[in-house]
Amino acid sequence: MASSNPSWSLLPFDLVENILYKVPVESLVRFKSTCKQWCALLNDKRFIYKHLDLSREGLIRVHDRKSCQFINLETLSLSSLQGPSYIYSMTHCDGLLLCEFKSNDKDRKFAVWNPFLSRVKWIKPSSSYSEYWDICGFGYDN
Amino acid sequence: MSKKMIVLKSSEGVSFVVEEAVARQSKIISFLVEEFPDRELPLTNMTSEILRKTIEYCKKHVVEDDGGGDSSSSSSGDLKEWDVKFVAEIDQPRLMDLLMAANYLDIPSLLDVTCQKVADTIAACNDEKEIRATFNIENDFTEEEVEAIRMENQYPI
Repeated sequence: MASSNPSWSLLPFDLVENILYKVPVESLVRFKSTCKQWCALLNDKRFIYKHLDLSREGLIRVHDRKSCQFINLETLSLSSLQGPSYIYSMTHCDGLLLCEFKSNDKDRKFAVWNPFLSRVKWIKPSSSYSEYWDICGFGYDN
Repeated sequence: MSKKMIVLKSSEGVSFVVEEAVARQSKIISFLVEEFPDRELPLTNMTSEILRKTIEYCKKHVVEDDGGGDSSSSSSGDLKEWDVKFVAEIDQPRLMDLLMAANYLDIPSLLDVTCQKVADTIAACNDEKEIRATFNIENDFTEEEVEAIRMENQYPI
């Protein structure tokens, strides 16, 4: 019966792209190792931007200044970020959010949050970081 | 006024008589009927089964000119529902053939629903092995390369 399976290799490349644009990002990241063609495409910046462009917008809700939730309007799934203290500021870049947390004793922590993939990376500011003189933001280094 | 009919011929040589308005949803056929009016159009890389399915889709989606009223907003929901059912009833190999047919005949809305269905099938797979088996994709990675990708994916963001 396996021989009656359609062969993916017969698909023109633009159709492969069109199909993968429609697969949600949380599934795509798991399937990078399907074959070399997919892996190259999923690592391609042009593909990533267009996929981001075509994805439906989500909603971000900040609750009580302590946590934020991302609501995927398509699946209604929730992803949340709980900080150690109060959210002081939030900025975003290409689907990633940078959240700055500040506690009463002025201790600061930063979280880079990918709400689509529910992944967080915590960053501790350097000891020379001053809340009065330094500002934070993020973007690309090339 | 009688409706103009055109004849489409499948790879097996079976002729399908279709209203021109129905067939014109394909941009390629639209072009061909203007260039070659009153000619049978041979679609040599489409089987009768896939051609029949494509015509069924086009019949449902043909925009009636004589109605005039703007009932489109209420019927577009029904049409979407019909599309979902239409692709749900087709098995995987035929779905791929239909997708290729939509691409070949340049029928954007049919291409969109078939691509969406394939994308949904991919998203529903548990792992890459299931995808490879479903779509007959050859694994051209070595064990080491797969491991390297897995490690890279563990990067937190």
